[in-house]
Amino acid sequence: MDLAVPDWIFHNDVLVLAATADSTGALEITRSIGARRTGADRIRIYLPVPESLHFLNLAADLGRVSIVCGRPRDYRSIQLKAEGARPVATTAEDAAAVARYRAELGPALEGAGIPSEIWDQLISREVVTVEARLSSSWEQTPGANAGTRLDGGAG
Amino acid sequence: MSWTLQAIKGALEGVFPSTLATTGRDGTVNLVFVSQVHHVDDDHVAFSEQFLKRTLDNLIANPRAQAFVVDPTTARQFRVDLAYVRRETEGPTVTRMRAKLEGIARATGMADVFALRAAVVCRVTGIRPVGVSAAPGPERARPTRVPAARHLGDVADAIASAEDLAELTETLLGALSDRLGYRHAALWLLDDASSSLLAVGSRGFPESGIGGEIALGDSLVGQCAATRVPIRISALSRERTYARAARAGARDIAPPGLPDAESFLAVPLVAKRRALGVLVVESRTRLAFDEEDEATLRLVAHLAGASIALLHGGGEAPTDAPIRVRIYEEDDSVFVDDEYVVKGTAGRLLGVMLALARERGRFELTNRELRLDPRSKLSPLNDNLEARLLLLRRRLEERSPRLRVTSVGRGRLRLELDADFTVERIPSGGA
Repeated sequence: MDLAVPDWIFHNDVLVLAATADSTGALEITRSIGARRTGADRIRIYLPVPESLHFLNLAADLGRVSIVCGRPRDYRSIQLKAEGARPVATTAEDAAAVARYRAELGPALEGAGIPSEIWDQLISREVVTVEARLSSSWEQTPGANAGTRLDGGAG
Repeated sequence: MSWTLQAIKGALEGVFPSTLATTGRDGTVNLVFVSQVHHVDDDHVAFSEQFLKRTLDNLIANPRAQAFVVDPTTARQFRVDLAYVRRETEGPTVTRMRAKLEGIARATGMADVFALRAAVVCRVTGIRPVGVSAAPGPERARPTRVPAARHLGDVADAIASAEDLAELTETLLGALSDRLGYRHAALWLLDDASSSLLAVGSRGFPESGIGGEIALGDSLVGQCAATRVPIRISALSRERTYARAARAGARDIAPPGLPDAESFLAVPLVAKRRALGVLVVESRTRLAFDEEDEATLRLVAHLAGASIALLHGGGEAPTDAPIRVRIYEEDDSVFVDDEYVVKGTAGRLLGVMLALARERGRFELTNRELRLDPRSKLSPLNDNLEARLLLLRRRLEERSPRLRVTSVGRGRLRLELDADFTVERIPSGGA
């Protein structure tokens, strides 16, 4: 399945957060240090540890995650739903993507009026790479199209 | 350490985008960015229901939720566990959230897009600091600005000593700057004739902007006057389009303001529940104003409002200004002097009373007459008329000092008006 996912959400001026829930309904949100598409229906997110450990525990139950990608400078945002989320080994490519994201997000935030100096203090240096299979994508930018499914599936 | 909403209030100011997660009946997680996390009280927050249909559906199905917020002053982030309580369409929480959201929306020409439908109120069940930020962060938060009583006293003296409006404006803005440290401030007064606000004084801006005009309800200043609630924004550069749009939409004179303001606080001047104007302070620093500033300026604005009312001869609207009633036929919502009063059956009944007053000069009438008038559209089985009339009377007492409905005996009512009146009926589908 090749989802209609715009490229901009993988740029380094985009905030990425993920949420998961287990079978009891327990919820957890965590920040991701960027995101990378690794196949037609594959996405990798980079979760800081230790602050994402509970997230990883909950995700291990059902493997479902929801990922929001938002660009602060113009409020564009997309929500991705994914399944089969599981930790995978961090490759050199992943590490490079995380390093670029760390370096470039702060200035991008400043341009959008968000204090960049706090960015480094928000995230731990260590990350766990999680890969998941994309199942749907949704427009979230405020406006008439908010909530519209982008990949043509049933909403 | 147990965290409280009060302790993380900086994280609710919207400087850093917040997110909200819910789950559906099938366990699917939904995660959205939210524009406002409104601090309702020590145990509750509210979210603006704009584009949150799925979130609201989820909360009704499964009331558990979690918000993820960042305090930019301390570089701490928090997971806030929540339980859905209710959806509110009116009341003080909705009024405050709507004033802020619609003020920005109108200034940016996005009023149709950003209309607040309701507030989604949740109880906070837990607050957890996230990872590295659980450790003490850099303490960048400025000390709370609680003014010394003697400085407030000086401001009160300055207001009380003014003999006319010009002197009041000068002494008020001077005292705000010199005694309370608000170096960028403007005073706007409502012009009844044009239903707009005029900038009558300013201090600390590149251009005075005196004479600048904003329509009642437009932009943040106009919303503050229209709703009579304070509006506080802590990171205007995130709303930079607001400032640009506000300037583009100005009339002949650019209104007073800092082009690079980060913090904005507007408080209404109110006397006898009527807005007389708006006091605005700005700062180039993010998160410059908190609820203590808001309380201080509310106090100053109330003093100034009372003083202006006295200078104008009691603060009443001019006796020759007709009472303006606007009725939207789509839902029978009624506005009196641009103030929303009531809708539905109670609004329709007021419309019938005004029609009878206009057509027959009848200001006293009986419940029976109201029941028999076909325009009332009351159910012949159970019209609940007394309850509707009680609601109408209460709403008019709260919202409309110049138009009242009083009881003059069992089943008898009197329509009391302090001036002549006009009624504008807006057909369904009209503006």
